[in-house]
Amino acid sequence: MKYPRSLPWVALLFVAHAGPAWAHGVIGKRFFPATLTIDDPFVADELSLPSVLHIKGSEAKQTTLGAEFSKRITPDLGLSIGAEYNFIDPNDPDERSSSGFGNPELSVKYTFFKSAAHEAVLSLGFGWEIGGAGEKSGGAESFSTLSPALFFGKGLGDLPDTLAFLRPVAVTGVFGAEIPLTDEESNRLTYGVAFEYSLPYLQQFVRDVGLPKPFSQLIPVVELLFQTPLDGGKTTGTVNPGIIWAGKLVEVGVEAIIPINSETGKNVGVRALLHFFLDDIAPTVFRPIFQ
Amino acid sequence: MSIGRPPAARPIALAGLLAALWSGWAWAHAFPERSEPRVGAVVRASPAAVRIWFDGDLEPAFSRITVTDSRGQRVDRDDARVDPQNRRLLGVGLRPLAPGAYTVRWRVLAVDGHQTEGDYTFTLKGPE
Repeated sequence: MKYPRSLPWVALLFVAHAGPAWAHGVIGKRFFPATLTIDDPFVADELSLPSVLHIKGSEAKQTTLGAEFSKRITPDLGLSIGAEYNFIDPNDPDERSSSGFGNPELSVKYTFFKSAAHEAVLSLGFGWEIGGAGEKSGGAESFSTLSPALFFGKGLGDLPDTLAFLRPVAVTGVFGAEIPLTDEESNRLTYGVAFEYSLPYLQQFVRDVGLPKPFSQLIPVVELLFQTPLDGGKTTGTVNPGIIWAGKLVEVGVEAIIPINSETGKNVGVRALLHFFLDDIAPTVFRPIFQ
Repeated sequence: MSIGRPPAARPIALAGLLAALWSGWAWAHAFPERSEPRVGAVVRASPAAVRIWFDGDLEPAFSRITVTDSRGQRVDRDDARVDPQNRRLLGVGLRPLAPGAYTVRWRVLAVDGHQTEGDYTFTLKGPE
């Protein structure tokens, strides 16, 4: 997705764009939930429907409904397609509200390293936001943007016994770039990290502290996502604390969206997600096409 | 989801998925819900068995559990099995244990073919 040069729109669309890219995965004894703000390193058959974002910027309020479907081609190679519908309500009462589809995005991801013993995973991804496919009224740009990225995930389950209560911690992250295919905007670095503390992991592998459901299925999370223009512009970003409830077949998550500086925005927003683990819901249908 | 699908179609897709969930057409990775001895517990008496209740049915032929002491020596009776009356329950008998720390390792196959694994420890304290 593109970011108009007007800073308020940069901020607003930054937080909107940061969302739709989720995956979940199990490696070793670690279950990584689908995170809300930044993509995680797994390929899987899954469906995010819907994702919801609402935030008030300096020029307008924006509400975004999104969806993404991901499909494994092989156990380590996956494709995703995502789309959003944006409602834009200007703060100025003289300006008209608008709504429409943003540009869809296609992405491919390949997991090239996995270590079950160390709960570690590395993947390469490549995204293509299809310029001109969405609606101007929804903020869609006429040009495409390419987004190569490296994704990582690491659970801390291999910590020594003296640090056993940190074993439920996991970190996932992304380091990538966004390359708009236009002379009007500069390239950008995009990087972020998600910190998770898995109460299911605590209960199942470290210490049964007696948490009942649904508390035993909660995963508090803090996600940080930043973007730095390569033309010397200021870095923008958000800090996103929230909580995820992960069931066997679905998960639900909600996060606050807190801008890190005035260039990003001044108001706190909210993001929510309903996510289906298709490979668990129907394993004979949603499995890799090629084993 | 297809690109360009009208928003009104989304509740239909959602309803289909929820119907699938409701109908029981679904299985998933199996993870433990509780264990005896409990994960990380300190117990006073030597337990006769380790039992783990999972959140899904297990394939008996491909579900294993072992218990080792701090030197890595097996202390279970090598009779791990899924309970025929409750396919979510995996257990193994234990030999009489000496005070010390013990590690339970399990690897199970859910009925849908998803494999999961894990381990935990418990400690047997001697008489005070």
